[in-house]
Amino acid sequence: MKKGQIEMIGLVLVVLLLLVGALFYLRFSFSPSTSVSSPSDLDVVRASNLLVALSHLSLSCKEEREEVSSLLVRCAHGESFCGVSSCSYLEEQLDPLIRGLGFRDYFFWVVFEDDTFFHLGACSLGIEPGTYTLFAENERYEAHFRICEL
Amino acid sequence: MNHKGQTEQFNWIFVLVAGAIILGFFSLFIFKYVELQQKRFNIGISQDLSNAFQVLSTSSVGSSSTIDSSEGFKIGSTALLDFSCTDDQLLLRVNEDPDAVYRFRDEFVFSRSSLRVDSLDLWLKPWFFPFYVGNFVFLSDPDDVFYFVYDASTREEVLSLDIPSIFTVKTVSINDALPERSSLRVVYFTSSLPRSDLDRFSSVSHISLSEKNVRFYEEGRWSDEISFPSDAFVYGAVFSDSSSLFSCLVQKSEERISFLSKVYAQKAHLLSFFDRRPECSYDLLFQRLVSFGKGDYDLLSSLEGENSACMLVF
Amino acid sequence: MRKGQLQIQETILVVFIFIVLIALGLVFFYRFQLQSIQSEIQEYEHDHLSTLLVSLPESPEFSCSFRGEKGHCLDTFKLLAFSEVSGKDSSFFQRFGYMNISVYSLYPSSSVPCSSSQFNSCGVWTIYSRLPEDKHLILGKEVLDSPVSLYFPDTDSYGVGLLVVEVYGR
Repeated sequence: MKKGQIEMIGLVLVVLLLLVGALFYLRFSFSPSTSVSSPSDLDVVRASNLLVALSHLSLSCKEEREEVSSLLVRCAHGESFCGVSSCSYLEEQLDPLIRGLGFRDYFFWVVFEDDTFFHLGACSLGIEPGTYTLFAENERYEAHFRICEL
Repeated sequence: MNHKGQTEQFNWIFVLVAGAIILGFFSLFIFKYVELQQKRFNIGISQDLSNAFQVLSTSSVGSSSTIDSSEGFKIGSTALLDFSCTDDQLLLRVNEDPDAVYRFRDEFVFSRSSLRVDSLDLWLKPWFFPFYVGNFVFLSDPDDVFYFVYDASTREEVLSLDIPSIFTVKTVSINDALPERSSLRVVYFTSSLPRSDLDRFSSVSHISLSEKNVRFYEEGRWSDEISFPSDAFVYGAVFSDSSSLFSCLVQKSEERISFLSKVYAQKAHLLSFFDRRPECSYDLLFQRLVSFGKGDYDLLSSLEGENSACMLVF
Repeated sequence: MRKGQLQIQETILVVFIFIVLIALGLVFFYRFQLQSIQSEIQEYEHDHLSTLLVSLPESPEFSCSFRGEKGHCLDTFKLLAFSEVSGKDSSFFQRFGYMNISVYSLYPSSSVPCSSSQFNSCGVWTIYSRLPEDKHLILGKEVLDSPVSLYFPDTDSYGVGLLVVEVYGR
């Protein structure tokens, strides 16, 4: 009898231990997953769409209207638009627009002959969906967009 | 002593029975688990294919490529893809699993009705009628060999068919003998319907380029003629092997044209408020688009002409 | 006899406990599998939504075109035309289900909803909207958005907008 009782106690202990283990498992398996900080594939698509949208965009100032691509060329040549430098005008218009589209940490820069003459934001690490190349007056400009990695 | 022997026997019987029950239980569990995992795999493939078809059907790229497990669609293993048309709804079922079914919406996918593949040859061709309607997606087993058979009246047209080189296509005259291999897909572009010795081929169809219709050789006989609205469907007929599937796609295309015509007609109506030049007759274009959407495809060339006149409708 | 009975009882108890342990293990395994399948479903739905976000701007119902050539922009007049024409077509519920699809113009900025009576200087197009009839059944909402180029046929100019897709989970 005594031996049987000891065996029973042993069984009960094993069951209790297993139950405790299962409870711990349940607790950790239903805990919320941590958020991801690196850009997702969808962010890359969104950034690519942004570049396409900016490439077509025309900005208006009073009666004047100019495409972003033309304004970038003007900026490269130090020309003005709407009473201010084209570069300043682009910065005023594009930065709130890009942030309004959901890109809080980004780097947008435009290169002409290896010289970055225009940029918005800054970061060195992140994902670049691609570049947009525009040709104007036989000159080649490359616009880059980077979603910064947090 | 007798009782002790009996007790031992009963013990063994008990152990055997209990063991058999437990073993049976675990075996059942394992089979059910394997079934579940297979189902998840099938559903995964159908979801991946459905996402791919949705993107491909409107993609701006019109190209041909081989999509296989190492380069594109990672199916992972050989899968059975069944295309069917039920209640005018085009369906794709993977590995005969009733839960791994994708219901096509606006995608035009031309393929054999059944493909057992681990890789797919794929070609996208945008379809304009006269506005952009969508991309035709043509699928084929990489092992398929197409034979286009022409006669004197159709030779030039058949030789001018432009099918990408990833597909194996051979063009022969009606007077040439076809190989004895049974895996051939034969498409006849002849003036008369071929009758003899067709059962040995994997699929047979007859396309009339002049009358824009196609017949499929199914279950030992020719199907009824299926008319199609545009030359782009010739390629669709080449890649299809089933009259029901092809009819389904033709009907879907007509529904699509109908809907898009309504959208463009409405756009023409909105443009008329801004462009009041007397030479721009948006009302006429509106009427023509409405008729075109109802099936009057003879208006195709006049629509193209009307569109170039003033503010572009499409 | 008593000793035999005791042994049998002990054996029965052991087997019973063993079965209980197995059953517990199976229950936990089932819960784990269920959670795994649910997270796969969520992943598929997210993928499906992402696919929609990518393919919608390229669809002929919305995309701009110039003499048949497809452009990479949304035609704002077609957005309005679509919402008017599709309202009478129930097949779109099969395609989209319970979701809201809207386009907001950020440049030029306007919060005026577009309609057939107001399609000039407006900036919000509700392309498709269908909520579950019983709002208590809505468990959650997933929202995805993407920048889009907007084409205004009346002025032959381009703007920038946001395509927003909201899906309701039940």
